[in-house]
Amino acid sequence: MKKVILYINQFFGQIGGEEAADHEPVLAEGPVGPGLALQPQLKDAQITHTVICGDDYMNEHTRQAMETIEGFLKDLEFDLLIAGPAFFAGRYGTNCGRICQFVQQRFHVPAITCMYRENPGVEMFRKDVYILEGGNSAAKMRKDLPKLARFANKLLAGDPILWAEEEGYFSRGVRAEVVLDRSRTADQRAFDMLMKKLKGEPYQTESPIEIPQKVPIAPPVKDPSKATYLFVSTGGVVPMGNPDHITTGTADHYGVYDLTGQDTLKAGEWESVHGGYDHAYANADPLTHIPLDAFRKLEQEGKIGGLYPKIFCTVGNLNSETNAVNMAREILKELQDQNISAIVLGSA
Amino acid sequence: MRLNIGNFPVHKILFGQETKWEDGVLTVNRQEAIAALNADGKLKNVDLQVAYPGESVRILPVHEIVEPRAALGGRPTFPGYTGPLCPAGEGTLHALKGMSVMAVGKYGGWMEGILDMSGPMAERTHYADLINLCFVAENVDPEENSGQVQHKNLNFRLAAHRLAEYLAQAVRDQKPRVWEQYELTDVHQLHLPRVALVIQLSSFYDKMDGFDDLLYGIDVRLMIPSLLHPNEVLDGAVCGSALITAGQRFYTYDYQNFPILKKLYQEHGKTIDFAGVIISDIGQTTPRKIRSAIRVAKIAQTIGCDGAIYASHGDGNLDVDFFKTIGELEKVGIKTVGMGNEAPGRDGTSPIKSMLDPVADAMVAAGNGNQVIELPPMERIIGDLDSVMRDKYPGCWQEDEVYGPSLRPDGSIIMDAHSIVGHDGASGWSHMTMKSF
Repeated sequence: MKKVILYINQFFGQIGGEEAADHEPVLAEGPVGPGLALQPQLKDAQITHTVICGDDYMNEHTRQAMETIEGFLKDLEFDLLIAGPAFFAGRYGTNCGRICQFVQQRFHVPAITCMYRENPGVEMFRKDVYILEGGNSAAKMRKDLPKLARFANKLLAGDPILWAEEEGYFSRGVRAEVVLDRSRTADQRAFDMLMKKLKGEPYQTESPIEIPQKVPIAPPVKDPSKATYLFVSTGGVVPMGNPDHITTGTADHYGVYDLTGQDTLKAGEWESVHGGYDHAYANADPLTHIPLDAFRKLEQEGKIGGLYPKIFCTVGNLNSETNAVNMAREILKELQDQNISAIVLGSA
Repeated sequence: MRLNIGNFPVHKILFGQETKWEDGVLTVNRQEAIAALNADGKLKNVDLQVAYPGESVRILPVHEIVEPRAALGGRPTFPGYTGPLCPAGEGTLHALKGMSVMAVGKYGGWMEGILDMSGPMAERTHYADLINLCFVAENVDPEENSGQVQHKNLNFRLAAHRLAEYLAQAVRDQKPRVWEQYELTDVHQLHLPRVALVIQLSSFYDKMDGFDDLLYGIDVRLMIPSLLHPNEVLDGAVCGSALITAGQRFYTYDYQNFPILKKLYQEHGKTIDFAGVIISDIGQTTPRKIRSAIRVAKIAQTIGCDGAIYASHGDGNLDVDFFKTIGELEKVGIKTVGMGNEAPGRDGTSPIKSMLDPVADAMVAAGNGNQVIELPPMERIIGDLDSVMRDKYPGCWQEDEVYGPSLRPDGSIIMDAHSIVGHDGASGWSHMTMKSF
């Protein structure tokens, strides 16, 4: 028999309404409130305890609330935490997400919740927590509980969790490959989609386009003649022999090369390992990718304070934002306290 | 213009005295076959090996894949490539079906691929469903193998086409079991929507011939989009490149059998009026990308299209060509569906393509270029397993904090889908899609 902990607020925990919203967490044995209707829907699992906490208390005294709840849970054995459902209640939804995230991190036990799509808890926690799509008011309790129960039963049984649409949770922002029935080949799907589009019937793209947030452009350097510039390149030009084994595509690390005392780069000493373009120009003249001569000239003319002696090189070919952001963070970590004013980013 | 393809199924490949086909059994005379593929003596240590579906076999690095075919009537099977340049798309071909000729080398490289005939990879590529007759070889000239990230593999590619042409001579004078016929009959009186297929060819290089797709044997790197008769594509006018990662590349076998092209033919006169194939490119500069997008839309408009399907050749900078072209097509009122892959990074959380434009509101996701896959050791290796760590495959790594090295001491591999031969199947083979989790 698996063990489940339920988390609910003061209202569903039958402590009180808004006037009891600052109620500290309490631990009750067995299911309470919605747990009573949920219990019979769980397969080979028992709600052993219910944590009840006031919405305001959790919201305003988060750390104390978590400490108290941690104290409740640390001596209990449990396989899953279910929070809510929270419907369109903003504080409650946020708290459900928060407790789920905390329990997963602290106890390495899965935690799930359920709320309405416009509940602010969705955007705050969907990336970390399975949040099932629920109704917008408590009148939908009878519909939401079976969703929670079905998903809880799957998790407890160790069944594979399918994609968001199929399971009814809000996507955690992860795209992954799914193998379909052999008859559903891409040619059939493309043709069917085109026919619907031509007839003006509704169709559903398989690759929804979500435009990522734009990175704001940095303000200009106030006094370039006093500024130290760092050169970073995704163009894939590295010292001959590729000493850092940077891959030709989907690179996840970079090489650092010290150019102290050098004024130019010679063909034959540098090479491109980038898989995505014609190497003829880069190999014949590495300065096309790493404009060291131009930097030196600007230094001599006093137009820039100086070029940071080390350059950072990787391959941008077929790379993901995740890899790019990770590399950028590592570079920034290496350069802490180096007083860099601006970065010149070269590409392929 | 009518193309007849007479099919001869192959269920078994044996080696023997005489190259012949009988009741589904292809017998191959080794010496003759090797002499045919290595006609100019540029390859050495050539060996032939057969890999069957379901076998515990790993093939790597795969350079090119071709379906064996013989063009009747005295013309070469691949005009301008294995013989003189002459029109393709009309006449009769005899084809050995259910098999391929696979060129396998010793040295990996940026574009190279790996194929397992069983295990988790086999479910993800149509090439694991074929009996693959592999020739393994090395270049005589060591310069051809070494020192470069990108290899032209010219000798291997030509040899694969020559071997394909040679093998099919065995059925030249026999009666096909099954016929396929392709003709764009005039159906304009039926007033069906006119639909074009846009195929993005590999045209990555700016200065140098020898890497990209071939059109009538000529490198397409400076090509401007053109209108082809669909039969030309099926009949060897377009041959594969040495670029584009193995997971995304259209090999010659794919052009010969392009599933979405055949699907549009099947529907011609029933639900659509198939207008033709527009071949497009991967522009190496922004103006060339934009010019190609405009050219594709103008051609489609000129031939009176209502709809189009755009088969993309992968991800990366060619996403720009993909979105720009779909944008131009939609701008002139041609309803378009895009076929391609997604590449959201190994953890699946990055944007799905290098460029994004909501104008592409109808896309078929044929696979995940970054899908990480764990592959068990295989009993037999065709090619060189050491190439995984020594050379530069696109989806393999020497060391990774999370996954460790791609090749493990027991012969198992962890890598991503860029290295899986035929993985994305964006020409229509793929029975995979992408979902949000």
